[in-house]
Amino acid sequence: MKATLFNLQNLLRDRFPEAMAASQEARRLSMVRPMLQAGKLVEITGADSGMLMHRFMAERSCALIDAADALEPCGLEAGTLRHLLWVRCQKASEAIRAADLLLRDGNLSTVLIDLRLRPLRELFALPSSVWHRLRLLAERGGAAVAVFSPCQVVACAAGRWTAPQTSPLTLAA
Amino acid sequence: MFAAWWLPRFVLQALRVLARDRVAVLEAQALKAEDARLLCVSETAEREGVQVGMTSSQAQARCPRLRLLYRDEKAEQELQQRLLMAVESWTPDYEATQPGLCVLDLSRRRMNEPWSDLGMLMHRDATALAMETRIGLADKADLAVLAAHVADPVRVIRDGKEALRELPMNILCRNPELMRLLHLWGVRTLGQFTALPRAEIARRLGAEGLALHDLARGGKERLLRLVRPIQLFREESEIESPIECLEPLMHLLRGMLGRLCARLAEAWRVAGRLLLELRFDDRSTHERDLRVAEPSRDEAVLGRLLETALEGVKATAPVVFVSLEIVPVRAAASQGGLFDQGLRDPNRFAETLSALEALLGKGRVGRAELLPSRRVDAFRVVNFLEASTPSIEHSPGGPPLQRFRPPRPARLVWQDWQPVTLHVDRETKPLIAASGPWFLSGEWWDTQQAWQHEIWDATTDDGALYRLVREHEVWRVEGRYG
Repeated sequence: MKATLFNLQNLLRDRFPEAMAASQEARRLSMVRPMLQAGKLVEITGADSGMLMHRFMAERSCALIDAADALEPCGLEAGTLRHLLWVRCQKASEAIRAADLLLRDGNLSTVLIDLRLRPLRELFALPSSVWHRLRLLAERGGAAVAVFSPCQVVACAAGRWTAPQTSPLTLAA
Repeated sequence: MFAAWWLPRFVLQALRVLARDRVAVLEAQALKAEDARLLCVSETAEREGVQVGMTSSQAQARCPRLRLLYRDEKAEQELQQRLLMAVESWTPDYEATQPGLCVLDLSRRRMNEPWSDLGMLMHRDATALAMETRIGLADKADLAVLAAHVADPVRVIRDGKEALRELPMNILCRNPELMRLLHLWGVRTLGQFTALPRAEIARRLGAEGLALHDLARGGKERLLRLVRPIQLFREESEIESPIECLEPLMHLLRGMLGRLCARLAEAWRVAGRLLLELRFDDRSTHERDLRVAEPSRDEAVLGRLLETALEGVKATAPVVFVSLEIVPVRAAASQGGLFDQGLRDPNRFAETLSALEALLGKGRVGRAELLPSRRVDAFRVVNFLEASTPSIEHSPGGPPLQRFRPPRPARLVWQDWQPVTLHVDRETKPLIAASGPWFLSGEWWDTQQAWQHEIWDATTDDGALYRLVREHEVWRVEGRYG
């Protein structure tokens, strides 16, 4: 029975590649959506979480607070570029202040904070109270907040995921 | 009742040419003066055979003493303004039909005097302002225009059909080709033209012929395109005691906003944009163009927008001049943006964006728009609330790249044409795999801007994949994938 279903899926994928791609995309989104919850602050650790971040950015009404000004806009879909608010910071403290302003504003439903390229020393120097404050603001405004960090820095995160190391990536010959 | 004011030979009048002068006006500066065509001809020159549309050499052959002038648009605008001012003293409801021609709607005016006397009074007014006018009065606007073209200096047409019958065709038709055709048909007067069957005119001359036919019969009832003065919502203030901090400046601006918002309310408008100009004691200036995300005339909302925008401003000298202008929009027309509707409070969001810009600097908050180039960082950051422009076609693919801005200087050790070690940030990283080179170049047509990159992707022994770029013989790590 399983073999028949597998064969049927393969046949459908060959005949209707666009429909299959759409359903795969929907499945991927259904996998990542539970990670972002309204009113919750979650942390995603690991340096190779870029794919996940790009998927979150595809959400409408989203802001990326880029603590190291590291986003490559050419890597984003045109639709994502159109509705993404990009906040380019130079320090972790600037990123925290920017997040504070956006969460108090309450107009955006998703706020992503990318701290991956900031030095660990700078991240550990942030007082833990800032994360509590951001968590409270997220709860009050109903925004989903995801912090992308190189290692665990948010003590009060409602959820934490670690992106697997995907390297060495397949290099083109 | 309608009155038409017509300034014959408007272009010549603008140049203040005397009627007895032999003068012709050329359209514009042609490459060769003899190729330029005549736009307007004085009466004296016309009597000697010079006609509009001739080249200057043809005209001078007929009238050797002809003086040629070039058209002066600025003078024409001044004369038109003078004409509008004169007609405005008679009625607020008037149409600027074309340069040198205005139609006045006198239906709201109490008429105690005969029409011809009224026309003479109008002519006297125009003469006092140094304008030579012809005044036509009639029941319909188009009929009044025709009357003005045959007036000397005033003409009243009450029974349109009868009065128009003997008028020449050239007062109606400005198209020389059509005039030539009508001349070939033997049509000289409006009466002869209206005698032609309408269906046949439509078949032979099309819509233009039908429009002329209607005009020749006295024109249809039509609404005038009334001239309404442009209302400027602007306040400015020269400050006697220069302002050095935000608090007194905001006090001044709130006063201005209060007055401007009251005027907006009278005009049933809301503020779409705020244009602020500050001049400082050291002659420097600061200008801001603030878009109101959700157009409003709420003083508090607009005041907060101004205050947030000014919080980040630093100046080396006190403020001596303030100017605030509101660009008005209709409230209903401002709700077009889909994104504006999606925000809970667009005005608050605009304030937040201003606060973020004040915190991080200009160009650091907004939407990224790609530029048509393959060069690194070929993008610009635009205001998030501005309407987005169609994006450049691009095909994102591969793993995401985290860019190092600025790129980190690096040194590579090579073995058998492959990089084996990467020295970056005082660290040495052995490379376990490398792929490349890929060459990218652009703007080769410009020696100053031309660029050429050699790109490698390399995996270090800790599993990280980097993008390495060589430009001008210098290696740099441009980013890390992941």
